[in-house]
Amino acid sequence: MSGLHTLFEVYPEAARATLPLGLRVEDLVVAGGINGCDPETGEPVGGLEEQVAAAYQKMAFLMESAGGSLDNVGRAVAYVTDIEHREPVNGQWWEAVFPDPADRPAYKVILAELPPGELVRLDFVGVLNARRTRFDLPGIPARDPTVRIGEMIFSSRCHGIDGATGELAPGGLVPEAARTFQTLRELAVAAGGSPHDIVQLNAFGKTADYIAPARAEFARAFADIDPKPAFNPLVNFITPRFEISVEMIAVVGGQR
Amino acid sequence: MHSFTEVFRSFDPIPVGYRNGALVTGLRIDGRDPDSGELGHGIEAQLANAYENLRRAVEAAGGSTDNIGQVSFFLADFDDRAAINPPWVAMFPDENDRPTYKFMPAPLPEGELVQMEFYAVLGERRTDIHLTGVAHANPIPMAVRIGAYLFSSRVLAYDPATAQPAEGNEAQARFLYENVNAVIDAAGMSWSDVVQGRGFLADLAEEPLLGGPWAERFPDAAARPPLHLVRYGAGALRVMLEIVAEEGAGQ
Repeated sequence: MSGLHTLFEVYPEAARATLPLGLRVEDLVVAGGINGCDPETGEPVGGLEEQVAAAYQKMAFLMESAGGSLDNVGRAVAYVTDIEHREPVNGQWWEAVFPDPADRPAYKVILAELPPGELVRLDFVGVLNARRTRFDLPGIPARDPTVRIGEMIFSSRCHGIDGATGELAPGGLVPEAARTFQTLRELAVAAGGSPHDIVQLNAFGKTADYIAPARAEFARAFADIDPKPAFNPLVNFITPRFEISVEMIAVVGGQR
Repeated sequence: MHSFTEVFRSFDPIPVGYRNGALVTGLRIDGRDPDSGELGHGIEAQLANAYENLRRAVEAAGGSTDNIGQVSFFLADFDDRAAINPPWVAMFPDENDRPTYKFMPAPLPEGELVQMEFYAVLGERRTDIHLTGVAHANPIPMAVRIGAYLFSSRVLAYDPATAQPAEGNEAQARFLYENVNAVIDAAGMSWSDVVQGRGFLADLAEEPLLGGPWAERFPDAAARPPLHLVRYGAGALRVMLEIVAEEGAGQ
């Protein structure tokens, strides 16, 4: 096949497994809800560490079955049920899979209610025939990176730190939101795209109170952009000192 | 490159679908109440929620139920499959304008009785494909063409002359491939447009029944679309095949 018209589901190797692990559409590989369960029985394979390892293994298997490898993963999201479970999933276990800080997918670990016994779920997006490249803005720290892979740009969750001062934009939610949106626009440019290429923004705050002001600031920050990116405000874990964090997906040339 | 976004519902940080250009894929549409997130009690309640979640997911992606081409149902208890049809007919009342579907038993998380997946194509309208003498007892067409895509049901290994399952495994495989051929013809496509096959075998040891003709149709192994086989039989039917095709895929 040319790679221009490709659509297939990838299934686990187990003969009795009926639910697909994920999907390849053209050069994109997408997977949602990958769990740490046995594909034949649906039973969780053990505790958190075993389930996370199983989910990461499914990610590698899916990428290889789709014609690539972990090198082609652009972005991943892990969902855990307990705030205490975030750190090994975001930190040491992830870093064991992607040891080079200069060459990791965009990533975040957030909280979700999962079915009984399940401690982790994993979503990811991969781009075949492309290699990820990390982009940073001067003065803005990012533990999880913004990457470009092929024509897609995935940020991790960005925050309101101003690169010029190295400090969080003072004044609370609205100034932080304004700085965060500006940072995302600059990241899109740094990665070789433009703010017009941003197709989706997922915002995160501590309570639903942040949503209306964040939405207003989004409208201001993207007043010049048409069509607008999808804006999904979610309430979930964020680093306590921030009032808002936002991630983006951009497709260079995709939105125009 | 196409545009790409995730599809969310209000209470849930986990996306329930993806939009890649015009193609929307819904994943793990479950039986939770679309507003509260509470799991429904019993199969009817979970199905009612799942159908509403299906509608909302395709609308959140920018389309409507008119854009849905195919739905897969995964059931914790396979005896629940008859419950799929009443809400299906309610959502898709026109027998000449329905998506197609399949249902499968699957290990679901504790308490969950049903999950759905779907394919929809934004900005496009489906055309149902029916074959004379080869018809499902369930309220679905043999296949749906929508936009550049063809989604088949599990095509039946019927002899169109008798409208019954062909006798014997070899004959079933032969009629099955002829019927898939008729579906592809009716869609105005060819085998070179096929991008995925899913084969259903009552006995996986009979793999050559499906794998042999598949390989004949795609002699170049490097360019052969994947054929995923799963153990599944329905009464006298020993073999079934479901395909996805995309016009121009082979060019």
